[in-house]
Amino acid sequence: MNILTPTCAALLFITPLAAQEPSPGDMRSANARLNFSVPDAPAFTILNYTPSVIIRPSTVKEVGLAVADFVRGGSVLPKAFAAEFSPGLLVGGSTLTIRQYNANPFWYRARISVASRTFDDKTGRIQASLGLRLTLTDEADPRTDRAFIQDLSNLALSINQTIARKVQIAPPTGTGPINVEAADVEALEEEVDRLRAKQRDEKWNANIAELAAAVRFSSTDSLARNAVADKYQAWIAGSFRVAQWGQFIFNLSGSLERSAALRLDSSSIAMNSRFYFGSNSMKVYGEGQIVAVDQSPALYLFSVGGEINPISSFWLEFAAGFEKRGKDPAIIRTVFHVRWSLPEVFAFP
Amino acid sequence: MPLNKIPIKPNGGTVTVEIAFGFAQVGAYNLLLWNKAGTISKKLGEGVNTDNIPDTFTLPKPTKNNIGKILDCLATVITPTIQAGNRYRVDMIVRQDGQECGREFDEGPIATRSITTRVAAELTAK
Repeated sequence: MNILTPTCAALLFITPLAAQEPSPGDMRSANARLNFSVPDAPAFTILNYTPSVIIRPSTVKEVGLAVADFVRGGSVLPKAFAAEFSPGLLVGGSTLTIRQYNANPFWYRARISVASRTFDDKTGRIQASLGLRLTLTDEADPRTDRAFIQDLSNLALSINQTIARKVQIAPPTGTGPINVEAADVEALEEEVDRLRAKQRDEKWNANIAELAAAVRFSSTDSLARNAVADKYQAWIAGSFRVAQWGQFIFNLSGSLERSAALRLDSSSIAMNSRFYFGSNSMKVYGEGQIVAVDQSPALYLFSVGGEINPISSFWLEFAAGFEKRGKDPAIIRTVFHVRWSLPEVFAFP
Repeated sequence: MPLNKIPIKPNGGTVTVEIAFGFAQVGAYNLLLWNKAGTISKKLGEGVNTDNIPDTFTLPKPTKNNIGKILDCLATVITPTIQAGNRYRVDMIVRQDGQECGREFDEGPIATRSITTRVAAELTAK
């Protein structure tokens, strides 16, 4: 593998020209974090796996049942499995107050992911993985944004009082959610969307630091006891506010993998960085990326571009730049992407 | 659907009711005490879970007069973040002389802008 000198790395503005597809989680969190946050579920990423069903246990009991099934099954790795959870929320989530969350957000933001899938249909080989994601700081976290929480509290109280006037006019007949369809309630609920959008816009360039790591196991058959760790991967990402109009973000990731000779000698490293100017809905950027894989010549990329978010859940991204690998001549690249995601709240008519 | 019952000692000490919101969600509530006849006995309180004001209320005395009455908490939950697997939980915890007598709660997924639930229980003699 080519070793990147600190000087070389520092001089480069780094980023992918052929942008990676963002995970739904990336798109959910904020436009500004596209391509540059650590993976939401590192265990899925290290397997290059996009599971159609992700189990998100909400209680320790659910995890216990899953483990019991696994043990009863003779420790046979499932052919397709994906789960993700926060250990902090799992252990005490049902009684976790927002004040307790604010007292120790690091613990509740930590996430564990596990996955397995058939690697080779002919031989039945299975790969499994375990991932950990830690958020060291996140000033964009809505739960620790005091002004936002105060606004939501006031709104919750208004909705509650409005509904109370309609339903607490007779004694209750049981416990359970109630549905009140009324224009005044609907108007207040629309305010929830407005407040969330306002919070995102205000925090688009907030300081965030995250890291993640994952390990992949490969088995010659479907039995867990025959699995061998054959790949390790890690990511670290950060974003830093520059006044109200700018943001510097970077991502560093690396992997170490067993080669055909079963030695841990296949490695890769990638560094990306981007500098944004603008706002959450419209910004321009300059970026660079350097990628080195094993003994191959390093790949350098540089580009400038922009992102526009003309309407909710819909983005346009354009970029132009050049790519250079080792001593090869530089190649000019252009990119135009249209991205969209489902709205945060999707109501059927 | 019959209401769940929470037993208290008619000749015991002070009875309190606490409203708690789980899963680190934002909540607001309105807590009433109903007579057997279906009339409001007393509004015990209202509030939110994000301020520094305790969400605990004391039932009227003498304690025995509360037997047969219904605790009625209308709670509204808003989740600060929209993400898969979001849940809510509202607990109404009844204590007498500091000891928990029982609790009524509602828990479930939350995928809407807000969710409002009614948590209710009848106080009975222990």
